[in-house]
Amino acid sequence: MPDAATSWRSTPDGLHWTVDLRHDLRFSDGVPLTSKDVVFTWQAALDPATGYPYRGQFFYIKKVTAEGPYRVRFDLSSRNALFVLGALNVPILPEHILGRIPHARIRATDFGERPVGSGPYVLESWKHDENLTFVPNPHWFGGTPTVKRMIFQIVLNDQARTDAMEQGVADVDDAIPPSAYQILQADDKSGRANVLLLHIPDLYTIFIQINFHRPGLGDLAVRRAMMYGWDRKAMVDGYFRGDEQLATSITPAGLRRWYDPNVMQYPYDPARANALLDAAGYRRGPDGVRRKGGVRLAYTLDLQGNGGAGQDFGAEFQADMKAIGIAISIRTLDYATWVERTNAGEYALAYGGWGGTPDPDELTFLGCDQASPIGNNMSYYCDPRMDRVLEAGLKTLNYAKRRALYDRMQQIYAEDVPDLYLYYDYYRAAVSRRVHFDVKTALPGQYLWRDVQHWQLGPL
Amino acid sequence: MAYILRRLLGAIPLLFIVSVISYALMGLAPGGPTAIFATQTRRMSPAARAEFIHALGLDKPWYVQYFYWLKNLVLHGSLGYSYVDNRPVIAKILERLPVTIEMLSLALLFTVLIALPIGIYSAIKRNSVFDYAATVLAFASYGMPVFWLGIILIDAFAVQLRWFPTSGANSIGGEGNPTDRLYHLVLPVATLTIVSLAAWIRYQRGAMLNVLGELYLRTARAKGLTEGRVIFGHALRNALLPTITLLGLSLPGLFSGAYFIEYVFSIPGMGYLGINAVFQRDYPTVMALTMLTAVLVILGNLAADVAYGLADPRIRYD
Repeated sequence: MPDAATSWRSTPDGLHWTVDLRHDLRFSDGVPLTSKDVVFTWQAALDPATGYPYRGQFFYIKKVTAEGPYRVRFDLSSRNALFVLGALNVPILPEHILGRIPHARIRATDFGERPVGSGPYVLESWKHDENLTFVPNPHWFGGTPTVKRMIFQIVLNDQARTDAMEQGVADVDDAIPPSAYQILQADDKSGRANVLLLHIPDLYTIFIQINFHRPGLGDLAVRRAMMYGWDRKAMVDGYFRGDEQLATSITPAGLRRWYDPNVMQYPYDPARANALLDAAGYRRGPDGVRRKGGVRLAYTLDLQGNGGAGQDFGAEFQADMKAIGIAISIRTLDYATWVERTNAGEYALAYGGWGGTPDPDELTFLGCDQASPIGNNMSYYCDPRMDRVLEAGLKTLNYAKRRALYDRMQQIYAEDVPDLYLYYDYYRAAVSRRVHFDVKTALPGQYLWRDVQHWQLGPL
Repeated sequence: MAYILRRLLGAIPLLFIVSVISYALMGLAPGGPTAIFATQTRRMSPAARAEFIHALGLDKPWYVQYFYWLKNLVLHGSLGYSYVDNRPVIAKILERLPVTIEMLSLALLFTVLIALPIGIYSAIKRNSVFDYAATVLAFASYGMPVFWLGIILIDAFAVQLRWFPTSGANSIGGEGNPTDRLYHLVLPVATLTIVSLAAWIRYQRGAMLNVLGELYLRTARAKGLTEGRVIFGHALRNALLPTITLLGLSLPGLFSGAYFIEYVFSIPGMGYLGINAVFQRDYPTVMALTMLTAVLVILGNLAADVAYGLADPRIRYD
């Protein structure tokens, strides 16, 4: 909505927000977009009958009212730092199309198939799992984009997509895996493909999730020993050929305004890992596996059965842990089963990731009272220091003050090791050199398409 | 006619049993529908997750869910809506079916065209070098898993030699172009053909050998007919009869082959839809595809029996 809004401001207590809309907004069918569409959108979104999956995120929005055709007022029940990035990013629905339909039936309409929006492009045709065609929206306030037709072709196979880029059949390869990226890099050097390669930090942190309820894993000494004993750098550099960034805490480096590298570090140091475990009283048994009392440091690592980096990392992790007296067995589960087991706490270690949001808040992931199945805290991690920081972070609107709180969050996370964090994911894409665009508009989490209305097609 | 009708009526309890067993297997498998809340990225709250589960009736035991599914099918003729995109399952399947049918019919056609002559010739030249070679090849191809062979062919002919595309059913921008479609189907069809050759060759060889031992062939030779007339005029027609049955029997194998092939070659057909639906636990889509396959297999068998009756006047159903 920051595109549709000219300004947004709140009362000093952060409970009442006023948002002013542009006066020249139109939906792609030509009908003007006004405050009544925004009010309708929020009435529908907040009504449980609609079944909007992300309604829960907006628990703090009490009332949305129109103040004239171009002004909307949001009344919040509590101050929330996520309001602008969260609520003001929800797309606006056309009241004149969906307004007469009962909320419970909105999801069953074919609006999703034939959407009416207010952006620079409009969906012209959609052949499911094959392609989507977009053409300029004649009613868009910003004029007519230069690119007159965009076809998004769904090509499932990495090799076929790489071929299409090499042959110049496709102009953009959006979100490519590291292997294809490396091929195109070589192609670009050898002149086989004329492409610009993009490699920007994404908003995901990849880690091995830990179940604190499993004997031994709730012990900080064991978790820190696992971090010291794991040659994360060799693994990540080897797999990604050095172009992926090792994680230092939970906030991904892609969140440039929030990322803080000044936290406790865990360089690879198996001697230190062994010393930590010795000091904590875990002695090696005849099988080489450490134990203390009835606790034996032997765990199963659950991987998601879709190939990818996890398969390679699992085996290396296993070897590294064996060297410090921790036995790891590997189990590969299909994704649906993996999700069910981790949500239900039926796991010891699970390879996965977290992130995707433009804000550093992690309350539902790290909060004490957010343990699964209430929230997304599937580790059952709980530290009152962390809770205080996270709750204050959500109530604080001032950037400098918030920044200090989230620096603290990243420090506590690194000290507590709620997950064995590995690396920050990168977004990789290839763009033909015949597409002329401002590379700076490709931002973490927004990817390439943010500024597509200004793209130009030219000679190679 | 009465026979066909009776067979069709008899298929109804069979389909019912198939549906119960499929639903039970699906419902008892670990993991729930991920498609509706897989995107942890958007951090759907667990409360919202629970609401969805409840709204879809997924918090009920599988047999209750099955009852609702059946009720919807019988009373409203509806196969339900996909959990992935809320679209009618039937629409999703119909848009995927053409490419699968194209691929399977081509594979079947080539299998028949290649296997029958080899089988017949092997039988005529029984225990010859050709016969042994055909037998060895048949068993080798029979032993190859379809996904493995697919990957090998991709590597050889698409990645190394670059003769054919690695995947997909169309080039970018080549939609609706039949030549382009055929070009993309070469490797998948070849894979399916190679793995199904064996059964057909062996079957045809056996059928031919049976016929070659018949007394009427001796009579034909005694009449002074040329060996060509004996084989093609008398033996062949009878030897082809049992093969018709194989048409119906090979359908289940072809459909399961389509699942692997479409996944390996990234062909957006019915099999690809099915595999993804299984991974996402998109129950309505999985059920619809299972039922569709069951119906096709039953019809295939029926068609084979009927065709058998038409081709061989000695066979009468009543």
